[in-house]
Amino acid sequence: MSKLTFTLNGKPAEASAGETILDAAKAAGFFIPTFCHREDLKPFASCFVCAVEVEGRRSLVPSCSTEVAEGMVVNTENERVKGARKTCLDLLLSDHVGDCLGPCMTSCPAGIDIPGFVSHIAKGEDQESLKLIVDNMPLAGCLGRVCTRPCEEACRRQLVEEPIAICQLKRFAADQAIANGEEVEPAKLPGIGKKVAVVGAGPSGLAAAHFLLMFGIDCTVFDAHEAPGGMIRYGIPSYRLPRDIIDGEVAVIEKLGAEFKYNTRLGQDITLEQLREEYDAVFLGLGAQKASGMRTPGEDLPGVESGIEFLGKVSRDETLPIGNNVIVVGGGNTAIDAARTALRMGADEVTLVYRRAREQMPAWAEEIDAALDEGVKLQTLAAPVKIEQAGDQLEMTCIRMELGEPDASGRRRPMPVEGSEFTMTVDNIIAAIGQNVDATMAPGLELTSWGSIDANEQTGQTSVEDVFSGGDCVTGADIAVNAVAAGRRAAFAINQFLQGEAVVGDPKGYNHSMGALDEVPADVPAAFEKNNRVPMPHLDAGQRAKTFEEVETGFTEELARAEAARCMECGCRDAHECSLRDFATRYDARADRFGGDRREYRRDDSHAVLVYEEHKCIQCGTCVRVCDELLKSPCLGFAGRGFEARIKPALDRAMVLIGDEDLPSLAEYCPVGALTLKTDPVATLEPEAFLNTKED
Amino acid sequence: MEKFESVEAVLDFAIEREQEAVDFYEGLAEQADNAALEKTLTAFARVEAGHKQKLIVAKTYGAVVESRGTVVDMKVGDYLVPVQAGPNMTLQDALIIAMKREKAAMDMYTDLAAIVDDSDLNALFTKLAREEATHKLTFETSYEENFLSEN
Amino acid sequence: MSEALKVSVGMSTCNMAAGSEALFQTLEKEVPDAELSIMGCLGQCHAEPQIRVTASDGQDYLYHSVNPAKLKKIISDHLQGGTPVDAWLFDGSKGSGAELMQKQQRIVLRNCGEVNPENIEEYLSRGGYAALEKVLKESDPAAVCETVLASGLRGRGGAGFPTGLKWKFALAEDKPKKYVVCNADEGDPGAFMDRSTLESDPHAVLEGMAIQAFATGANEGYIYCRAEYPLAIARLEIAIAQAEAKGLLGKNILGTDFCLDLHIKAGAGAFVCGEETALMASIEGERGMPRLRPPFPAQSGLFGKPTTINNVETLASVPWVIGNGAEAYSAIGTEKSKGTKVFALAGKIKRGGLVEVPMGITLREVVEEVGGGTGSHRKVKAVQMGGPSGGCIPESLLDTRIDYDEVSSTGAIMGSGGMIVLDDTTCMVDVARYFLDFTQKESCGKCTFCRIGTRRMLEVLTRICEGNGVPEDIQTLEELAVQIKDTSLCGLGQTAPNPVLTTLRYFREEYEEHINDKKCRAGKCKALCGFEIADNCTGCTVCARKCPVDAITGVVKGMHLIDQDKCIQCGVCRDVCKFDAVKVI
Repeated sequence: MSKLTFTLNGKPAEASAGETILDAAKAAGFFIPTFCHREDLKPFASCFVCAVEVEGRRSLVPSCSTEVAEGMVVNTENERVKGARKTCLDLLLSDHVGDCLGPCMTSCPAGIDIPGFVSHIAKGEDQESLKLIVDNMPLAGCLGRVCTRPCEEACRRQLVEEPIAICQLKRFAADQAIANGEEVEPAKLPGIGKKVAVVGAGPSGLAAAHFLLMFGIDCTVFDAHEAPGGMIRYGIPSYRLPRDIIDGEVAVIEKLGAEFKYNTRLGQDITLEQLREEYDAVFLGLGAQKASGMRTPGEDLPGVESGIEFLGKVSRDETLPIGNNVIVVGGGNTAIDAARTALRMGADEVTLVYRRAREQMPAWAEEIDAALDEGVKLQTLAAPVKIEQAGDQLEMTCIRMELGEPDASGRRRPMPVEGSEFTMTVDNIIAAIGQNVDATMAPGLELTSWGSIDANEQTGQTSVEDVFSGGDCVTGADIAVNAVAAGRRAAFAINQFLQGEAVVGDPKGYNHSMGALDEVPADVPAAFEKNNRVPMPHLDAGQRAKTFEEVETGFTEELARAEAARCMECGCRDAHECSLRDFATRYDARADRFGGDRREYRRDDSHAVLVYEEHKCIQCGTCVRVCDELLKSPCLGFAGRGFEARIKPALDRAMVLIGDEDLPSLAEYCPVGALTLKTDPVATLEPEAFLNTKED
Repeated sequence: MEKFESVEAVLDFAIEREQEAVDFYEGLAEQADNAALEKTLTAFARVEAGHKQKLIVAKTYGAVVESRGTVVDMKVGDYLVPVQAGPNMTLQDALIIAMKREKAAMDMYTDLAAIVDDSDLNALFTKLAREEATHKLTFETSYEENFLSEN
Repeated sequence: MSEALKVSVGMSTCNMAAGSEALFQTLEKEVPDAELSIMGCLGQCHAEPQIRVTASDGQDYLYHSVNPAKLKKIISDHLQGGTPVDAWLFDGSKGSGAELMQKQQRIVLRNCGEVNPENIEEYLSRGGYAALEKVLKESDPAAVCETVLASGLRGRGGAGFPTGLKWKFALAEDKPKKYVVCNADEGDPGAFMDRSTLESDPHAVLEGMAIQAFATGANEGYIYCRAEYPLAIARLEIAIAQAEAKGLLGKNILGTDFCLDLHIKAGAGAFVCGEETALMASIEGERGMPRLRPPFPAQSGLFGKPTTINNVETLASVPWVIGNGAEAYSAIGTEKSKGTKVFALAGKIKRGGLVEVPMGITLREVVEEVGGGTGSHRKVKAVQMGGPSGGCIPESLLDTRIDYDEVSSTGAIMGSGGMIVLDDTTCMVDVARYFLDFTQKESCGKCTFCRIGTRRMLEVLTRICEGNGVPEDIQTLEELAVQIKDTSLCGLGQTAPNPVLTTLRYFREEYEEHINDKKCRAGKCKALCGFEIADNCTGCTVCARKCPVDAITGVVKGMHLIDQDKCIQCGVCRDVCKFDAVKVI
């Protein structure tokens, strides 16, 4: 066959007679996106994402249906083409309604596959459930107990009644493995002959080690303490997180190949320089363990200590003596933990002193309630002024506070009321008013002006290229799941660094969302019957207040299955095959570049095997042409005009009425998730590269 | 009070005070034994240099522009133990020093306003006191957010 | 009783809307002796209904703006009394009638209003079907194509492709079955050239089609006409039947081997069906959705056969071109634009209606001389040409000649002939919004950019008109406009941004005022304007009486005042004020 010669992106190229620009460019190694073009269908030219420039033509031409001509000069990559391509995607996204991944998944900092593991639990596949979790996040049992659950805040189920108990189901999956004596081994790639020093066996360090090991990178974990866990061991009391759970999950990481060196303090027993010399890279997960002092007179008196010191001591020895009367200063989770711990250590009366009102307390509402149930007293709008020795006891003078007018940031700042001082006489004072980073043990790194380590948000890379960091020492005191997420991102980045690739962290694909809870179309929750969240069983307040027994006792199997069955399975069945999502990721397209009207949510699942989600349709017309040209059955067609044009079953009937036997193939042809098979599961996480390799 | 016989003289005095503050923080920053402290102190010096600049402008145009809105006195620093400046102090220490310095300046201008008879000077000292109060609030807010986060 | 007279009543849609049917009935009853006939539209819509009285000596008396009272007097004085009512005569030789006709040259409209469109004899009496006979008996298809090519006739649907060339392409296809199509899917808002021609002189189009079919080798044709034009369709049906009865259409036309079967297809009124590939899809019974070209219709058109599609005006010109020769036609006009062009003059114009002018005269001549200017004290601000696909030409460019290339260079297009005159009470952002609203609703929804992009542009324009525009909006509009033009399959999408682009080009400051100063100088965008009465108010009280919300107070001969709390910014006061005393604030 005779060959045509033409110019493609400035270079000579060849094509057969009748070959389209799209095919010829593909053969020459240039990627051109298309939605509407299919080899077994006639050219249609509707989506125009494939538009390219042909010199001499006034406008761009659809490459899917323009044949190469002798001497043609084609550009598929210049700014004009790329600009149009991106706008095309931005426009399609602006009229696309749906979620790629469910809101729970996108709001989980650690990125675990929530609908996936919840659905396994609903089906009774507990081990598969845990496997899915640990492939993306270590410490399932720990975080299943202490996570602040950003996923549940985003859960759509609360539009029906209450969010799914995602976190407690995660704990259930972890607990089932212990109860059944099963071990879940995370996937692991073959070794690459590199080793990394991880400093800090807290959540970020453990997560970093977990993923580094999965990548086939050897790890040694150093920690100044005598046991692993960092803040989740020394800052969280055992009645919330039993120590054997931490130890069990650290054992999994150890089994993956980590070597742990405890009682080894950076800057004292080892230096950063030494580690950099000995290892290929270093991860610093130092935490924010330095308590902020109150800086009030008398702070140094015996009987006064910080919350973190107190919790740390108790963690080592739960029989430590404490006075009858205890004040805890602060309103965060550490303060609540310290107060509840003080009760368990034998204190009769524990009072929390907090500068602002209860609504402003940063502690978790459930935890505050639990503390009050156990008998902790609350003294809000009071701040310590000084502490004095009063015989064997301590006298703390406080001043009453009032909230000022909201300032520029909208916050109402507490202000002292002059002359309102009062005193309280107690045996112990525990100050839990905040923690800071002390990074002085890691000299040579750029720090922020607040003393935290300056590290790239996506990669954790510091100013020293082989040193990475994450967790509280970068962000300041923060929630555990963010530390785990930082460790995970850094592990991806370290792997890239060690493999000589561009250090980008864990790149996330484009994610479309229906928006915040109040933007979700009413028809979405309306499809579900009300069925309240299963409450977490727990010990009575009286029963628990004096022991370190775990307060929350965990779901039984029946409860867990019932709770898991409530999941609405948000997310798209097509998320990993969707061309729109793929191209949006490639070309950095955005749904919010253009505001404006969007199509309505209209889901038709009346058909036996297909679901038609009109709100996701991009009008490429592929399904219509499959019906016309391949199935010879005009069961789908275009209707309406302009922006309101839609693809609909013929005569605007329900899908169930068009029931052609061959229709299931439409789901394969649909480039997005508008036509999907009911049997396909909803979107789970992107399959990780290393997992795929392992399965091969 | 002979020193403060004119608006210009008062402004010169105030400008000098701000320069002292710049020198103070810069000096400390030079000695700081860690990068974070040095960064913080240098930032403080820049803030003070800004204050000085504002006063120079005021002197040139003969008017002190008043900050808008009410300036609250959170009194965060009032109850804290004074700290000694040093090369190895913490960031918390640095902020306490800054809050206390601004408070001292605010108190000084408030006192001066109370004892001058001249109404122009009285107005000027009041304005300066208020200006220092806004500086103090900046540091107090920062302290509150960084060191009283859970209180 | 005077001699027998012939009375022709204007019975086109426009005349009928102005009340001509009642006049016809009155005449039927009151003057049974007269030869009562109908006629089409003379294009003088501002002066309708019209009645022509033809004396036995052939002298015509054309009455304009006739109403039942006037008719009574015309009957008594003229029809019964023999004395024409001079005051109501429309005289094409003097006064405003002269101005109206002076610059016009009627080729397409040569018979419109002159003949009874339902009577083929009248068409024949004016030389009708002579051109067809000429080509059938004296010429061959290739020669006809050459003549049309040499005449310089270009497609009057808007794109201006040389008609003779189009015919040659179709003729070159060696296929036994070919089609001809007449595109009568006139969709531009404000355009009514095709309707008027079909209603007033259907045979001119049929003759043109017969010549087109002969020249391209087709033997079957379709007239794709909007269903909203029932009168045009009815007259086409009558005309086809009469022509077939006379052997001018159908089998063995005029005794030759040439046959032509014509069908009328009523379109459902989708704007995009005016696009030739969508039009063909619609005739085939498919959804009216454009297809990719190539292949062009000349190679593979209707039902996959070579097809020649021409617009009504083009086809109506063809018999004249053949009859008078290519040279006569090409003698009219400019170097690249030959012949005449019909325009539907509308908007702020004194003498609105249908006019036909030679190519090459200026827009100013059309607007000011033929149309008589705005008809008020207000100045022309711009002329919108080409409908939703066209653009706004500012007053400063009115010396642009009627010429495909010259008009295109302004950013507007010649288009099918819509010409809307705008004065300073017209907001240019609002005009752009109006046309874009039209096209975005009429998009077939196939191409992404046209379907969603035009909607996004409309949303931006709406936001600007409602006072919520932001500075970035202009850039967004420009970016989208360029990309929509770049990436649409058919003319609808490729031209949809034109109204926005031309107004941005010539009236950018109005956009900026809307966005930055929150002001609409034309007093059109309610959220951005108010009205007040200036001290040249004479106290005539008209505005106070017309105000729909009683917001204007004032005594006779005293200055009036607008209560701003009550005012709804409708602008009626300004429209009715004869003294220009109502100002936009």
